Amino acid sequence: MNGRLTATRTAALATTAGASLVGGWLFLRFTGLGGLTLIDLLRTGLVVITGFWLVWGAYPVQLGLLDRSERTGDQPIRRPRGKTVVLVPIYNEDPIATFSRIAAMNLSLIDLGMEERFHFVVLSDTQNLEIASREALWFARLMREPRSTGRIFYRRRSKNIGRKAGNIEDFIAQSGAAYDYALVLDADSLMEGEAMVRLATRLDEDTQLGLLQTVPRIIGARTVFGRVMQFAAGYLSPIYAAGAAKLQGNEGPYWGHNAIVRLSAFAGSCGLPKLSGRPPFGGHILSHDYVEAALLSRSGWKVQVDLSITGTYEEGPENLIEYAKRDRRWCQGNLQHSRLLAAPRLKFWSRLTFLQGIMAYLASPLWLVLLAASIIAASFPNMPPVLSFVGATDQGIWALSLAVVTVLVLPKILILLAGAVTGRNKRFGGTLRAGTSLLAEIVFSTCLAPVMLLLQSWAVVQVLLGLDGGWPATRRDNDQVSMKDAFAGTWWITCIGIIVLTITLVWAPATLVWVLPAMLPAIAAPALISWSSRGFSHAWLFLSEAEAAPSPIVLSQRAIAADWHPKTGLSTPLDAGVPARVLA
Amino acid sequence: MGLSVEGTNVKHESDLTSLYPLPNAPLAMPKQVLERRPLLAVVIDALRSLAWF
Repeated sequence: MNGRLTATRTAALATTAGASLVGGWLFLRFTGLGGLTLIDLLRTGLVVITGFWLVWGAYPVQLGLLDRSERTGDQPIRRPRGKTVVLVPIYNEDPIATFSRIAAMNLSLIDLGMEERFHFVVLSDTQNLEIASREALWFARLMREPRSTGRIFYRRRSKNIGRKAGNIEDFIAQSGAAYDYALVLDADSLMEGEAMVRLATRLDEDTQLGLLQTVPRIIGARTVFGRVMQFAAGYLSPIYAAGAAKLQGNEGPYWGHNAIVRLSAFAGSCGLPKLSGRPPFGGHILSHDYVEAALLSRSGWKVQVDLSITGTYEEGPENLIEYAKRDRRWCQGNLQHSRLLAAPRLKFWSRLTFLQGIMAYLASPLWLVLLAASIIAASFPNMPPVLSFVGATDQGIWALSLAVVTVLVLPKILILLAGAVTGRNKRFGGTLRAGTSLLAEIVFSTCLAPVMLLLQSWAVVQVLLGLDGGWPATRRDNDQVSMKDAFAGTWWITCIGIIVLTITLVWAPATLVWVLPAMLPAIAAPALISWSSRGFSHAWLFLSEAEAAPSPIVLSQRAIAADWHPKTGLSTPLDAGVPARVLA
Repeated sequence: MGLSVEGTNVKHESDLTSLYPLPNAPLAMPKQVLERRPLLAVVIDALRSLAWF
């Protein structure tokens, strides 16, 4: 542990704790008028707890703005010494989309003349036999790509035991010793050959490096929701990630994809046990990536994130319902980490990372309890005080509100200003376009925040009660969510909004100014979800780097997919000349 | 099995699990210990993990 990292972490924790305590003090000044009741003390405690994680989430930006590592590597690439297997775990995915990405990545490596250092393995956990048969067909088409024989493999498990972590573990148990490194991708991941080579050579150079995570950019968004997410991920996330990396040191993150692992380290450290008890807290570990990063750190391996490696991509959800479905899975996985907070020999930072992941979801119900307690406090103003408080003023709440808005918005404004100075905004269409997009993103995310708050709170309740997600099926071939589907998924949010607003109007009109901005978007949730799922492909707003200057790998993949796609006249790969005996 | 891929030899689920075999090079992945410890061990470990201060 170096002194600089210790100082950075200590300063971050002290600043965050100090800011949340000041927030609590400001809240006490407001609630202390006429003495403090029990409910006031509860509310103050909630302000301190939720405030801590709010500030903690925003803190990395100031470190990230000072970071200079978000640059495309200027160093020439070298041939990796170690042999890498590119793992593509899939589960009921569209094989044309997935395999065309593999074909593009393969061609990219061939262009560099380094394809012999990389193999590809499709690890199918597909349970739908119709899709599995399509995988077999389109894999046969993939095998007609250059240099595919003996370098590109496919295997399918008939039972997806242990889900994705079990899928990868199964591969390592069978074939892991054939390779030095494994580059783990998702079905929607895409990576330039140069990025793959740089990742492998980083592991060559640093023999203590167990895992190297890249920061993938979101590409391919077509809807309002998707493009806002894509813009935010491209414009804001790298700065957050760069700052977080300065705090993480060698106990960095693993997000489960677009990362390379040293197979000997991974196999020796990351065999995940089945937790005792039944789901949601027992059974297989769902959010395995955080745990694997913690286990690598526990074994003394470095886990780092590298901002300098570009050309790494993924796709994101195109509407809020798909986003909420994914969020529901992550919620269950993160809450399950509460079982691991006291796991033996973990590094302090790994435990803090688990706690942060848990609080990312628990904060939502805590905010709701704070809102409800505030309405109750205003509805019953004559509750007996348990403590007197000197220095109370009704100005405190405005100062606190200003501080909350500052914590939420200021980091984004700072990123915009820094981008204008450094020239980074040019990659997003210039400062005017990036600034307008950022303003629209702030408005959009503010409107969605109450909806997300209620969705996450419900997800926490569902997990704690062991309930199913309960989302209606959405059509994968259509991003647009109809009002009917949106209402079927979120009618209860509208009802909560109407009920809370009515209660506030009748019993606590003084709190209307706080409740109204939260409940109006909640009432309009179905309309917001349906509207934001509309097509928004070529709009001036939300230009991302990948749209402004598409990467060669993105263009290559699109060309291959268009060439393979049935709409071009090929109903099956057999029409493209793949003999049936290939599948014999 | 309900498969209906015309023009192929895919008839059974087993046809879909035995295509394109992987290299045979096993690598052991021992299960890690993540839970079930006495409270005292948890407290001592928590104190040790604060060593970064």
